[in-house]
Amino acid sequence: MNRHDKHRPLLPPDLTHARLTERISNLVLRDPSPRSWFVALLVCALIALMFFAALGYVFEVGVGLFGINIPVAWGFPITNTIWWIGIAHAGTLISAVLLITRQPWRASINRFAEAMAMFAVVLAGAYPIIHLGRPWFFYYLLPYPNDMELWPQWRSPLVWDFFAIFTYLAFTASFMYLSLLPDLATLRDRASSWFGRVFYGTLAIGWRGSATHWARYEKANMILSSVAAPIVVAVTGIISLDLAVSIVPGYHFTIFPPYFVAGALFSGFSTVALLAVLLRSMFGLQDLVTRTHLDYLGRMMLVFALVVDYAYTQEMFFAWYSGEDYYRYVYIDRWTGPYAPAWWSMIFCNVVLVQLLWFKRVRRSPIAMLCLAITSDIGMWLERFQIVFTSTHADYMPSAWGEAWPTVWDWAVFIGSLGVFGVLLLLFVRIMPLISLHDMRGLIAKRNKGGEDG
Amino acid sequence: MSSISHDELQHIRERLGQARGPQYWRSLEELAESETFGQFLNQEFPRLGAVWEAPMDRRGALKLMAASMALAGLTACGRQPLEFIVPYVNMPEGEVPGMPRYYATSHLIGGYAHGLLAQAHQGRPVKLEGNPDHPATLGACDVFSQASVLSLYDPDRSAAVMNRGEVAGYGTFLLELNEKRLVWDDTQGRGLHLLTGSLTSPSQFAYLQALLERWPQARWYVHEPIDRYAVYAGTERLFGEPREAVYHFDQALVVASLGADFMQAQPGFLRYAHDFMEQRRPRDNDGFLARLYAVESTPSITGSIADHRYRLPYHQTLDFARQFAVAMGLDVEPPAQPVVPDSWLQPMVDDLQRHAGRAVVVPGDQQPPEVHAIAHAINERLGAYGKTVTYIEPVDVGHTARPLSELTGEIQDGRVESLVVMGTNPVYTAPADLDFQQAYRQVPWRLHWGEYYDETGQVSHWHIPARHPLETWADARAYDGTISLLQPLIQPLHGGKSALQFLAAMGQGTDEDARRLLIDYWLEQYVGSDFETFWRRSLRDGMVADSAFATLNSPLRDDWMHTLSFAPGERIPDDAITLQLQPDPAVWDGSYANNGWLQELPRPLTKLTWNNALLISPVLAQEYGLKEGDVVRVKAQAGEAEVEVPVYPLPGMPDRAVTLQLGYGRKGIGHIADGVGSDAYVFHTTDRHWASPVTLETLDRHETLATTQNHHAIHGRDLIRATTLEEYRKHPEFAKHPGPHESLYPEPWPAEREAEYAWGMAVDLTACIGCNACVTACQAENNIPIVGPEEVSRGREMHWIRIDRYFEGPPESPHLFFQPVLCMHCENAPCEYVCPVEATQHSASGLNEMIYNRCIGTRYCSQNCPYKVRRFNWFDYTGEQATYTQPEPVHNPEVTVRSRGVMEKCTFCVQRINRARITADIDDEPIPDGALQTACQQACPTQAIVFGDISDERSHVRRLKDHPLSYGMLEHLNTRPRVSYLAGVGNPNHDVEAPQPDPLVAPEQEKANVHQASAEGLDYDEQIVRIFEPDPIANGRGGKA
Repeated sequence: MNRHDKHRPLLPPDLTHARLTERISNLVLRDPSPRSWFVALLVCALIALMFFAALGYVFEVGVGLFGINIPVAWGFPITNTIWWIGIAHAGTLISAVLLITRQPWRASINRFAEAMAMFAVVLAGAYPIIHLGRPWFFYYLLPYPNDMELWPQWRSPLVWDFFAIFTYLAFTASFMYLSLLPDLATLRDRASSWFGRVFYGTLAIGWRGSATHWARYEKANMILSSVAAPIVVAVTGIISLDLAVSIVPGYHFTIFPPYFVAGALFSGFSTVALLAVLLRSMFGLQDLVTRTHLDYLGRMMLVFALVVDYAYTQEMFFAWYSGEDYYRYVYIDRWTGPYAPAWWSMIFCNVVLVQLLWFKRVRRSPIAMLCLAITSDIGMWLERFQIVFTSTHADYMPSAWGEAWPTVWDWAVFIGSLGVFGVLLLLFVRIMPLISLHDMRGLIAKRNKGGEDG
Repeated sequence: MSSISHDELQHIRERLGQARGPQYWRSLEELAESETFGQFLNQEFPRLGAVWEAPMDRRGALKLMAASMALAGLTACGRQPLEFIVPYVNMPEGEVPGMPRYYATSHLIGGYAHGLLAQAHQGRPVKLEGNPDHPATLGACDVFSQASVLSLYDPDRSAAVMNRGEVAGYGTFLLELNEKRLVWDDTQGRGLHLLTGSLTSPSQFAYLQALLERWPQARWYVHEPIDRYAVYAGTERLFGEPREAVYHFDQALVVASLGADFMQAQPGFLRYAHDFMEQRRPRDNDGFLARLYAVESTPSITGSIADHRYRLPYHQTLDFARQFAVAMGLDVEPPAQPVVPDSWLQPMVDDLQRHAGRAVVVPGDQQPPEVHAIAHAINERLGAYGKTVTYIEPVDVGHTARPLSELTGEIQDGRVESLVVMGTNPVYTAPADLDFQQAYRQVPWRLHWGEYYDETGQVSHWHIPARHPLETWADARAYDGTISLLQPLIQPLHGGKSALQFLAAMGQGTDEDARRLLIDYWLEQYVGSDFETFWRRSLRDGMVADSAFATLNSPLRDDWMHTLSFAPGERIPDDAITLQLQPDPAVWDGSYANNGWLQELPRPLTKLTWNNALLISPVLAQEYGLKEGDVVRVKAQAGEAEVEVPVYPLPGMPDRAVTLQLGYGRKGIGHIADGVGSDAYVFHTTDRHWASPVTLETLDRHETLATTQNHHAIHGRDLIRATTLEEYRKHPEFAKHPGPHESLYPEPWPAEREAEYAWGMAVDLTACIGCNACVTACQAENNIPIVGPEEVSRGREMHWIRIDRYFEGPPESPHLFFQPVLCMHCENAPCEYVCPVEATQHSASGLNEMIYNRCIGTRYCSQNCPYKVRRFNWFDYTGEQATYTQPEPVHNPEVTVRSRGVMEKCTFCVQRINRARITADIDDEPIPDGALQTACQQACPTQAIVFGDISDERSHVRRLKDHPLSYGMLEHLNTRPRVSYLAGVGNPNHDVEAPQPDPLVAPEQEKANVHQASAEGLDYDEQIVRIFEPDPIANGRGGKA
């Protein structure tokens, strides 16, 4: 790492504590929002409005608005849940696992990666409820005491799902809040308005930066980070069990948990890269979120894409090796059936295009990274789409075979959720420092000490 | 009365100042006791004003109050609308709330009676079942009869007397009618013409005869769209007298059908299907199986289950009959050239002759008279008379009436002054060349009596609503002449007059009581001493005992061959495309078009709903480059008739033949019928009744057809197992395929549960003819909603039982297999463990149960169901948001009506199980085997479905489960289904050579094309058939997919 740091520094050479603090906190407290921010907010808000309008109609009339049927009774909501939860994962991984492994490049990107994770989990948690035929009874999934003496059924992966997503949401929220604490105190101290002081002061819950605070902070952070790794693996693993536990050919594969974790991290890192490119240009942070960061993100994308590609081969191998006609047919159908365009597009995005990431010039080019991040996200969405749609559309009984195609409502609710995500993220970066001040200070301190212990 | 003067206020203050205790007042004016208040009171309530002014003491006030209280109730009287649908106020004697009552009645199909038992809940008919004592049904029930209960509550049924487009009173009608009657009396009925449908009712015929006697100049005509003219004309040529053939398939071992769909579309079809399958039960007796040969154009369910089916365009059937007759040694002029190779015909002839006396040839109702004459002559040669076929006098007396064409002639000649149309709809169904609507409009006085204010009613001067069969008193004959009675279960919902009431009004000009009219007729007929007992017994039984027609001795005319005309004049050239018209398996001639259950019923062979697509052969489809749903313009070669209609390629169609079903394209009938399908009657002409040459023209348009089964090939999967009788004798256990791997944990069968019974079902694939009776029965019993064509085409039909249909063999002459699929009630149900809220559970007696209240609609159960038998309420299909609401009263009160967002599926008719259990508990006896029937089982004419306790080793269902033919579908998944199948066994004749593949297109090429199409990823609808091998080793392991 040291060698890399010398050639391609993660920090601008003239960055001091004071200048860093000034720049980042001014983004929140003083500087007017860039025009691009307003444009982005407007666009996202309109899309988010469409989301809520569509949802209102779906709740009013029924999930029949979605393009689902018998045999394809699961559609976009499930696809989107898995996709969003996957995106959430990179955030946690960057904040926690890279912290434990002491990777210095996480410092400038972990804040918005965490925010991304947070909002992605919120959306991932919303879709299962949107999916329900009677969403107003979603609380039947909760183990609450009731006079029917009924509990949820613990054998059902959907119940595990509920707890997994809820755990993940709780964890992400607390982890992000913890890492925000020192920065909130900084903002409190620098806020000039009364409202700012009260707002940040309340959130900072009396952080004074004393040595005791820092010691406890570090300890809590390390504990949460250690918990994070198993959670990351478990949550997506459990989501994948929704499919793997069933007896549907195309769902029922033992490799699903690791395969889904890899896929989740692949799409997650892609989304972090996407946001990094966008935010650094929006707020002029090219010297803090450098091309070197993009390089590292590109490497992570490549690693996980290769794991995903390996999983594809194994999935096909198992389908053939099982000796079951039904499993083999699902694969033939994915290649040649009505949903084949989705499968081949997925292969193009996730297998072919990602090979460009072997090249350093590609990884260091913001434009190329932006494009690859978008195609990888699309590719991963298509992966979930084709798993959810193709498996039951032609399963055991040919007489029951049928197809489901998304309707305008499916798209409205899917694209609308991107708008909601955008609005939440854009608001977040205006009221919270989008680069972690204390992590960056740590990095500067290390550099000042000579970078010997990096 | 708003202003109040200063003085008055002063006055009030003074008064209030003096008052003691609380004083109540409504307004300042009242308080002031002012003049204006008195005036106001007088204006508003003149009587109250008098009271107000009258000196009133306490006693008087109390009296007045008491009187008003007592009279208050009276305001409820008088203006209440007549609400017949509220069944009763005083409970009838013997009624137990919640216990259904059964009444015997009948339903008419093309005029022929099917004996039924109508189930009524608190006076409300909700379900029709077959009458076990009735010869035409034997307890089974067909789709039309069952669905007719929905028509009873149809809001579009005619509800008022209509006079020239305006609602009128029946009294007004009688006034005008009586004026006409005076004229008819004067002229002996000159200018009066009566047009009816087919008539099998003795009483109606008697009343009609009385009319014709009274007015001898009046004329009677009959128009029945699905007429049986050829049946009587053919037998008349053969015997000299018209005859009705009654077949006795329970005596037959070899049957040959000449275009006859006797299991679906000929009078007596339920009985015929039952009798034929009695002789074809490998589960009971593998000593012999009845064999069926079929020569037909459009694949029918009879042809589909035939051991040998030869496809011939409709117009060649007569040539085939002649070829057949010659081969049988009859002195009939042979056809110009043989239409069926001898290698196919001769083995059949040999087979029939070997089984002389136990063989029968059945001509189709819609075949020309010559085919009937020849077929019955062959029957005589086969010694079938009195054994497998008997002849009785015609059941339909309408054959003595004049035909419709004569009526239009009379109209054109201006001789028709008044036309009374009774129970038929000629404006819609008359042959197109008659241009009946045009002619009808010329008649000066037009009267129509019918259940719907239909095409004919709308252009009539008077329309009188008819009663629904469940509201009426009537009688009618069944296929064998048995007189069946119709009795009302409910007051007419929309008024309406029975046929006898209408005829009585015609004759006497008065409105008589419907019941009285029927009883009066039977009083006259009855010769015994105790009419009351006779009448009550007949009503209870639903029929008049021993009223079937006696068998007539029917010698052939010596010169019968010379009565046949084989005129080549109007022949259809062999290379033309022949359009065949057929009654629809769901809406018949169109009279059921406004019935949602029937519209949404997947047609047996096409699985098409809500439409009548043009059925074409795969070869023709390829020639024209047509795919399912592509629209073509069908043009008659003669005349101007043309229709634009989507096509449906159906394997088994003759190459150059197309078929269109009748009964669609209705206008202004009701919210269900309107705009569905295309009207095929435009091709229906007097001389070309059932077929005519047409040309096809492809249009650049596509319609999505609402089909419930989109894939017709079985992909080498061993879902259906079938073999031939010989193979079965060699390998009785051929259907037993290796099961799942042995578990370390023993799993007893049936699973040990703490219950008295273990319910299970066996479905016999040999017996299933795919007739849909079970589907409709289930729909009626279980309150299954209809969802409409858009939802069906999106894969959202709600039927709990579906009949899968697979093809086997080459596309030209495929074998068809029908497989009813319902919830398998698996012991290891994949749906159960995945439900997060435990909304689907196993009962102790082995039912897989849905708890609608608990279901939140995750649909995981459906995803994990390998049989895909679960149905989801995607929208509100039953409540206020529903597009096709079902009338509330038709709902079975014992079954929950499901709301939006919940899953549902077959319950094994748990309401029937529970009722049987309660009855058994009261009697303190176990439920006897066979006493408990599911709705599907009860309706099945061939007893293909058997339900019962599988833990009872003597039960019928258990014996079938222990049968070597028994197998479980997808058993290797270890679902351990409680529904098992009995593998199909056919009985082909080895000497018959399979029909040669068509020279136009080789099967390989066809397959290659389809492969290419599916590689494009768009055309998933494989229109070909893949060969299914009933070979245990080849299946499940080969990876042929």
